[in-house]
Amino acid sequence: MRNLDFWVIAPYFNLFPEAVAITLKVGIGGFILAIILSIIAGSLRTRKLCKAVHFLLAAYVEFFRGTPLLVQLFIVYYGLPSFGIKIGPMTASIVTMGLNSGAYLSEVVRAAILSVDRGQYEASAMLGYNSLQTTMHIILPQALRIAVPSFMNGFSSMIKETSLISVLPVVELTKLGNQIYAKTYHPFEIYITMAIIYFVMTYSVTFFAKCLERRLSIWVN
Amino acid sequence: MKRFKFLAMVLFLVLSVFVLAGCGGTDESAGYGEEADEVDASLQTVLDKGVLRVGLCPEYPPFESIDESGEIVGFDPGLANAIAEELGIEAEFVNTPWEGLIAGLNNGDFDVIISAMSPEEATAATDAVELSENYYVMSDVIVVRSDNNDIKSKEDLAGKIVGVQDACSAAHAAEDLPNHGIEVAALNRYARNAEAFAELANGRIDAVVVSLTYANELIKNNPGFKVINDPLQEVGLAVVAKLGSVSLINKINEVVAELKENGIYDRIAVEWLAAD
Repeated sequence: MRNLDFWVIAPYFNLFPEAVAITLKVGIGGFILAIILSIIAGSLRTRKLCKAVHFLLAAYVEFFRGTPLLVQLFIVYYGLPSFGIKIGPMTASIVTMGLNSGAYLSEVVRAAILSVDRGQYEASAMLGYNSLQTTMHIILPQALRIAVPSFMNGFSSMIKETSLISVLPVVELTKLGNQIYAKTYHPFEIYITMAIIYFVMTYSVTFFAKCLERRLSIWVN
Repeated sequence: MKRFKFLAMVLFLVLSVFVLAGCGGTDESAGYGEEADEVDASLQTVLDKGVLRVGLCPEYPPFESIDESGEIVGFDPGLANAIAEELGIEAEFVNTPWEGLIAGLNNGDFDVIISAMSPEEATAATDAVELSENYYVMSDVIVVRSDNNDIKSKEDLAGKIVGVQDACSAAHAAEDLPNHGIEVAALNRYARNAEAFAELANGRIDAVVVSLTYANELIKNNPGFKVINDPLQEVGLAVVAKLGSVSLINKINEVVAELKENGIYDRIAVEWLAAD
């Protein structure tokens, strides 16, 4: 077995903060977009609307759940310019990851909305709330509380999946690791360092999620 | 009516997301799909901008790699800087994955590719490129572990597991082996040479086919490998531009010839490729 030598990557440590910042930027940006999309798509799919809207939403969700994120990234960044739609690599990453995660989370939102007791709808109808008000003020706040653990799960998946954007011209953590590796040929040291950095990021999310859940359960009781 | 209001709000939100996303995008796809008939403006455009944007994949030392400050360095960036200097402009490097180079060129992310790319590699996917004359010629060779004594020539690769970086000249050379009567046991393709060499070090494969230049740089720091000097093929490296960029490519040919004459080319070669 070869001796481990973490010092070979030490000179490159100064490059990590920027790569981590890009990873977080795509992760957080994509997640915010995913939340917005999932709430819109998820709540619309629980309502009775015209068939075309239902079809469009179903097509969106099924396409993004049914195809690999890597392929979606290739389509958005390398494929769409053939149709004159040209977006920068960072934007392409955030939009694709947001659309992808939004499709998954919209099902979470839908399930959460359906799990809210029917009596809530009847009660708010009796109090004179219209359909939009019922959704916004009564149903969504309860549904989103149910959805919080799944959302946090989605966020930590998102941070890990940002490694896939290394196929685009974006130097995030994984790409940086590969480029340092191409220079130093010390795979174990580099990839274990990257694994630790990813773990710290996702564990912070998990930790935050636990605190949030505890707060929310106090609020309910 | 209420339903309509709800839908309108949703539509507005969706649209605003797209508008916001659009803001971060690059500007208009200038000249997209536009053919140069009479006067091709590629050179003038670059000169007017004052910047030669060069796409490269910095995972191929000594031709291009990142240094400790994250800068892209190597023979190709050195040459690109010299070309830009001769033109009186600056070179700007766009860090792009190998498989995205041709697509990036066509999308206008950069003006030229100078990334140890051979004419065969550049035209493998599309004919829509303009190629310079070869600015460098290297050969593809075999690398094995130092303790390997049964691979001494390319004929010895018969029955062995060979690794290559996918979609590059070395992969073509390895694919061509059966045409020379050499049947390898398996040809394993990796995204990057670095991965193929990790596999070689781990003992999962017997040999890697790669350029001599890369191999020499590799064994400088890794006594665990050795080069079998039985070249599989010669490979030229060219500057690649978008189809129709004739004036730019002609100018680059002219400048490279000048750099070879005035000794600057040799200075860059000695700085980066001294192992040759």
